[in-house]
Amino acid sequence: MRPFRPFHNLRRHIVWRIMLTLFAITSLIIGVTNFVLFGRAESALTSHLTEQGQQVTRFLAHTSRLGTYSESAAELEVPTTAAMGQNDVIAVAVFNENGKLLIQKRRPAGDDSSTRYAPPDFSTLPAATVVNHTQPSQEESDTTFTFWAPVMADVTPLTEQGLYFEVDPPPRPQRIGTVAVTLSRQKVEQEDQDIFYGSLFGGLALLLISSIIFYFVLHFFTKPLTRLIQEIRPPSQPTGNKDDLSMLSDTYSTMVEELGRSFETINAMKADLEIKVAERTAELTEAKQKLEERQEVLASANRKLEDALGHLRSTQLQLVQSEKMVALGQVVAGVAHEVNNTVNFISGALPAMRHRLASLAEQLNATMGERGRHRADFAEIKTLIENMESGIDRTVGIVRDLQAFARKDDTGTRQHYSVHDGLDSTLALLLPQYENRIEIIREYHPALPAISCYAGQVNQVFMNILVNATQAIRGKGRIRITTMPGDDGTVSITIGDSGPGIPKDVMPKIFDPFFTTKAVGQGTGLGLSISYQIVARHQGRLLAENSAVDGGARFEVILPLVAPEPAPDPFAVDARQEPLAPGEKH
Amino acid sequence: MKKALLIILPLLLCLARPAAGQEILVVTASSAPPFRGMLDAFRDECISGQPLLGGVKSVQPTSIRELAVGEMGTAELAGVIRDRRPDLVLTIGDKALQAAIQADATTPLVYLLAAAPAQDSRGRRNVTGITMQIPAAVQLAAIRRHLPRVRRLGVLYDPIHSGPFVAEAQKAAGGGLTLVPEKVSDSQQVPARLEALAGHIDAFWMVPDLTVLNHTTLPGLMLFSLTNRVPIITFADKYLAHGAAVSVTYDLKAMARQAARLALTINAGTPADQLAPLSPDSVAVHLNDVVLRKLDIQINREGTQ
Repeated sequence: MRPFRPFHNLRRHIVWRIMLTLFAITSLIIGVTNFVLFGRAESALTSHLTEQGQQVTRFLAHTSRLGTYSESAAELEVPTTAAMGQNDVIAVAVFNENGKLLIQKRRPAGDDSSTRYAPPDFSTLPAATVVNHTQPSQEESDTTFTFWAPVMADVTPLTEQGLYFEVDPPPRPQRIGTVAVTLSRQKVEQEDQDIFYGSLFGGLALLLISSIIFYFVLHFFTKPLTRLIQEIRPPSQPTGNKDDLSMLSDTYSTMVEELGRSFETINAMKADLEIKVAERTAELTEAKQKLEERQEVLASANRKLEDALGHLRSTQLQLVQSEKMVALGQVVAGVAHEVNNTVNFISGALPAMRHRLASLAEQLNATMGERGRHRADFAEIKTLIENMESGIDRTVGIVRDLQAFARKDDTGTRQHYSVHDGLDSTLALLLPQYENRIEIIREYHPALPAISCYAGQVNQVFMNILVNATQAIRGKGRIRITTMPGDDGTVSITIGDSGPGIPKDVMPKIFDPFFTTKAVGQGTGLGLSISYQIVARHQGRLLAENSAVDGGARFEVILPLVAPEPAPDPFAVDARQEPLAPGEKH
Repeated sequence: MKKALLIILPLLLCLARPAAGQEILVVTASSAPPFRGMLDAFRDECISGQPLLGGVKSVQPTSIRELAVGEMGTAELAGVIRDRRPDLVLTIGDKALQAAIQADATTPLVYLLAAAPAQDSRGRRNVTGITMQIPAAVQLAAIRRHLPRVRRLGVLYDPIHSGPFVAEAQKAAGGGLTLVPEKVSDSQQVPARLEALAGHIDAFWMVPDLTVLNHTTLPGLMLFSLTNRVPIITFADKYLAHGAAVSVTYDLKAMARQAARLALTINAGTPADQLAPLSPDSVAVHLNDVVLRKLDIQINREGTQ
């Protein structure tokens, strides 16, 4: 049988423990609050009673001046009666200036609810005691408050003049008597009692209500906690000896220990996992490296294939172009031969014709005199013959330039080559392209040595660059050609124009095959690419930049004085190849 | 001839009779409006009461000069009066009278608004004036005229101070008005004597009695008036502000004109000591309408202010 311990369960359950604590705190707060409020209320009531007594006393002292002055009880009847009518007043008395009692009114004890305490008897007071109250004062006993005040009045006689006019000095009151008013403490005590019981019952009611509210609030908010406690309580001990907090504490400790062990296990697994991850990562890295190497090999092979394909395509195009140029060169050589023959006929006939005409002119002069009209005709014929000779000379020059440009180097051997002649012949062929539009500035070095090279290929290089220059200049402009011997056994030929120049984004691609900035069908994009290969084959350099002097493109061809022997090249350009036709674009 | 005229004319001027004009010095306690009004009334009466000497083109026979007391002390004021050497001095107020008495013993003196002229004059002979005691008969006549419903008129008096005046009033009573006198010998008796009058009088007549009136008894009188619904008829306007209903008091301008006539009489050659002080020959009646309305007093307002 379990012993009866009523507070055991209260201490065991956490809800009840909180309830008891809150109840104790609330009781303490209510008790202290009631105590403070009660003290303040009592003080306020006492202060109120004191103020009331002082007011009644001042009122009585003021209204009893005439009666005190005349020492007339009848005159004092009204003011003393009025004072007695005030709340809590149980006795009043009026004395003359010598302390003699003029009138006294008292409310007998037990008269009504406000006279539980007997009023004082002022008639027994010695006069000296009364006279001492020259200032407002108050006396307090266990049952009463007694207030004293002097009766002040100006009893100075008027002057004769003062009877008629307001000439007398201001009134100078003097004490002509004393009044006393006694108030009962009964009301204060009654009020104190009412406040005490009111606050007591109010506090108890507040305590009861707050306890009920606490209970329900705690019950509501601690429901999850209670459920948790019920769940963690061992089934074998549903009402065990341990209280809720101890059980929670033990459970918490156990959980912390288990959690620690779990963390240790997790850490061990984590370390093992990290090792495995590192191994797997290393394997993956190695595989990735191998894959990248394979990719690099494939990329390298691909690039080689692309280069070979580009080279093959370029060579194929060069072959096509070379064949076309060879055919054109043969046509030009044939045409030049026929033109030379025709010109030879004409040029051979012209001296004889000039001689016959001179004889004819002499005969006519002899016949018709020197004033005949024939002289003018002969002069005109002479001019025509001179024109014909000039045309023949020009035609001979053109044919010579064609022959020089299409010089046969199909032997595959190097030739002694004058750079200036090559430039001039190329310019002569391009004359229609720039005549009356572009100024050619020749800054030829006077001591530029001749070089040993494949002349036809070099002429093709000049042709490609000059064609591009004439096409780049819209309208009028200039082309500046500078030659300069190099210090390292080279010569430098610089061709600059006043065109718009080469855009920066285009500059890296200008020597790529099939790259062109022209519209489709206006250029193959092979001119500069072929020129680059020709110069490279001569072990020279072809440089491109934008000119700071003329503002346009500037190409520099650097050629060795002696070109190397050509290597066997199945795609070697025929030495007779002709320069690109005007209009070729890069 | 011309030289002779220059000698004769000054000699003739020496033989000319001196002018008969006299100088009156008016010493006033203040230049406030009531005193200014009295001075103007005095001047007007002097001008109208004496014919011009030598016809229209002559100068005024009497010149009036003013001297305000202001902040001057009595001795200083007396010195100033002496320096002026007037033919007659008119004083308005007690202080002016006291200074004039101190200044000169021979110059005739007429006083106004002197509450205690006999005391102030110190027995000097050539002093006369207008007293502030309105004759009882005049006051009673005014009461009868303005308060016709008042039949019993109570009065407190100290026989030492006001015995003759009350006796004169008793003689003048009648015509439906009965005087109910009550003697007091000490001011402390006033409340009790006043209570004795309650219910026996229709109005209370306040007389200038130093035993009856002081700062303490005055509120009692006013309280008696209000509690017993008895109007107080007083002799000075100052009591209207304290609660008196009617003031039968002196007419300041009439008093000034009375004084002017006395001055002219003295200037005409009558010695001042042969002219007894005069009482005011007319009164002014002033009302406290608030008190009258609250006490529901019917009054004849004809001639009141």
